Amino acid sequence: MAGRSGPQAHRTMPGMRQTIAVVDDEETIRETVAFALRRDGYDVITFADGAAAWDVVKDRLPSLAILDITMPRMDGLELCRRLRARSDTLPIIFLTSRDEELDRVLGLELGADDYLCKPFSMRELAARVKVLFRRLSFLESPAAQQQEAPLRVGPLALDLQRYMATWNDARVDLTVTEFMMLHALVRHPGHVKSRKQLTKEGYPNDTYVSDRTIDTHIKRLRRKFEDADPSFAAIETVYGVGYRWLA
Amino acid sequence: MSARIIIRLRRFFSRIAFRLMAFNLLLVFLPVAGILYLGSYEQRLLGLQRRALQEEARLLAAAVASAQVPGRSAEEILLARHRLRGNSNDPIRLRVISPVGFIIADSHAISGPPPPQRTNRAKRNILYRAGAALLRPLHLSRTTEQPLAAGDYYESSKRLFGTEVRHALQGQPDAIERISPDRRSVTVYVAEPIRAGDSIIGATLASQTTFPILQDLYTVRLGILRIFIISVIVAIIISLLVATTIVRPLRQLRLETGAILDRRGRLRGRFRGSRKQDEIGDLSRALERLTRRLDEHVRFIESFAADVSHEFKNPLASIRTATEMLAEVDEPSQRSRFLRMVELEIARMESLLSGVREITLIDAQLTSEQRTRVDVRALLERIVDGFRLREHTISIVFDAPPEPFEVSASEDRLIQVFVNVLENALSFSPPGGVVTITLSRDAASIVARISDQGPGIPDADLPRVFDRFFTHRPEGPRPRSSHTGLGLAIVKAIVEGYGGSITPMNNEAGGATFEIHLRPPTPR
Repeated sequence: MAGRSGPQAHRTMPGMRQTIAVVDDEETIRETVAFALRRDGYDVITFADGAAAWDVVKDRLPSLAILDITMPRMDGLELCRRLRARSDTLPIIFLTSRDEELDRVLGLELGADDYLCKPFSMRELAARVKVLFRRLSFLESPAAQQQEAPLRVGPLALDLQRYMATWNDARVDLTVTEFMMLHALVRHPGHVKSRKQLTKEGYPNDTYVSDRTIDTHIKRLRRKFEDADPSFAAIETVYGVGYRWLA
Repeated sequence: MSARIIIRLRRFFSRIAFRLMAFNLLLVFLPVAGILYLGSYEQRLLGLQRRALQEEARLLAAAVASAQVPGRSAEEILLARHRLRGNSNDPIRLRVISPVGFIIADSHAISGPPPPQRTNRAKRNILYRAGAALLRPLHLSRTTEQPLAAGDYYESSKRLFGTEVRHALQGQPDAIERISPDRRSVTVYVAEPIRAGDSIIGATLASQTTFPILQDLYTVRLGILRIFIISVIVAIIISLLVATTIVRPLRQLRLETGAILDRRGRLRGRFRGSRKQDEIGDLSRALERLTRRLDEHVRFIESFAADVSHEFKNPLASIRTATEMLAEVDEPSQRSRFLRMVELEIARMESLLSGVREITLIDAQLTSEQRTRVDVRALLERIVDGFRLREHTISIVFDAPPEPFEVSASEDRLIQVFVNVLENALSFSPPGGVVTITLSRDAASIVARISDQGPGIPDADLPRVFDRFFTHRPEGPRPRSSHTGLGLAIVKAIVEGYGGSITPMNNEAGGATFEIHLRPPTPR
């Protein structure tokens, strides 16, 4: 995800309705998600598998994509790879149904912007979609005035509007969930946050999230910061309790 | 506390290594019994010696009595005897005594005293001394520090009036043992009267020390002691060797057993097995197999649980999003649409549940179910008739020679097998397509083939079609929720439970074929 200035930057015309592609082989999920997003004022196109989706979106990229992972013909991972090859900024949300699947997907570093585990809350998904569009609009108009000063803790700075983090002024690409968890940790440096608390802050509209998912995200957060700064050790595991940010 | 010590001691004594050592050492102690036996051996030798002395004394007495002049002839007789024995030093000392106790003749005066007796080399042996020191408390050995000397009781007396001599002069042969000054050896004195007619004209006295006997015994004892010590060393070495070949692999097994479960009781490691051909090797291999099977089983259960929870998440996700929408929309047509979705997904969860239940119980049920002879041909005819009533767009062709095809199975299970495979074939058939069922025999089994004219199975999916929850069907007119992905998995479990096999393949002309092999019943 580093350096989103690929060959063809993704643009959404102001005033144009945003199109969301929902790709899932579960008909019910597809329809409910489409229904909910349409109610929120988006255009929604639905596909039952990756191949069917690719046939259509390769010529006309949507503004955002919601992808299931396990699908016949072409799975979500392959579709994501192809979409990323077309656009570096297109926001992509994965829907996963296994913890192991989440591990695998994160490990692949496909550059998805967020992940939700099934069964997810529709409200959570809608909130993530909103956040991602907001982030995208800030990215597309760097001239936009920053209204709020970023939250600074040591070398870390969190831009709460763009959902962007910098470490020593270098950008660290985070998924929305990772950002929200990091924010929860950083808000009270030195305080231990239990996995339950992190779940609540990382998934404010969802309670059906396992502790394993939290661990996976924390692991990824650490790795991303370590990539930026090999001496990074600010996230401490407190055994049996949770995690804390060392000020 | 003492109870704990007792338990510890019992643990120690019940150790295999200890027991082996004990048995080996017991064997070694047999020579000690030999030492004990030497005591009675010594007694017997003593008795023999005394009889020999009596013999000598009597012979001498008879010889002296038959002579005319006792004084001279006694000396002559002794001289003659000495010559007869090759002029060697005689261990037996013979004396002729007058009626008042004076010595008339003495064999020592003729042959000279026996050479000074020296302590046997065996007795000076370090080994012997060590053994003697060890055994002294047991009174098995009565050695003494004083040097051995064969002192004579009458050495310094002119008249010999010991008890045995007095008895002999009174006409009573007698023998007596006197302890030598060294207190270890004994000198035996035997006195015999010399009779001339009715009167007693003197006595003969034969004496000999037991020292030579003791010397021999010391040598024997030393030999036994040597054997004993060598045996102890050998026993310890053998015990240690046996202990290492038995106890060490056993301890290894114990350590592995301890390490195999983690604190939460989950299988962590495995027995490494052993290449040893003995019983312990067998045991470790058996344990290795056991843990491998257990591990496989645990893995199966874990992956099954993961699969099941995964499969339940999709309908659950649908229900969750649909109910969220239900709470937010008011329009009746929308509400009923979401309600229908919820009902559909609930039905799907129910069929999933029963499928899961079915597949977990199949193995146990197959072994307990009654098996009868079932004619597959008749069964398939009935099944096909039923499907023909239902299916109007797809035709079913059934081709089988007019003869019974018997297998030993539960009829309900076979129906389950064929209905599932047939439904699978029908669901992939295009409208107007043909599903063909043929029945034949090969060398070992009855072969049923069910072919469709659908899209076939992608080669990559061929090995996976029987995986539980594997579904790979394009969107069709049937709702996805009616397929749990367990149908073919159940089929495979049943067929293999009956010792048969099922193989998926693609037809050259397109479409897929499932080939089922079932074993005919074994003739009784």
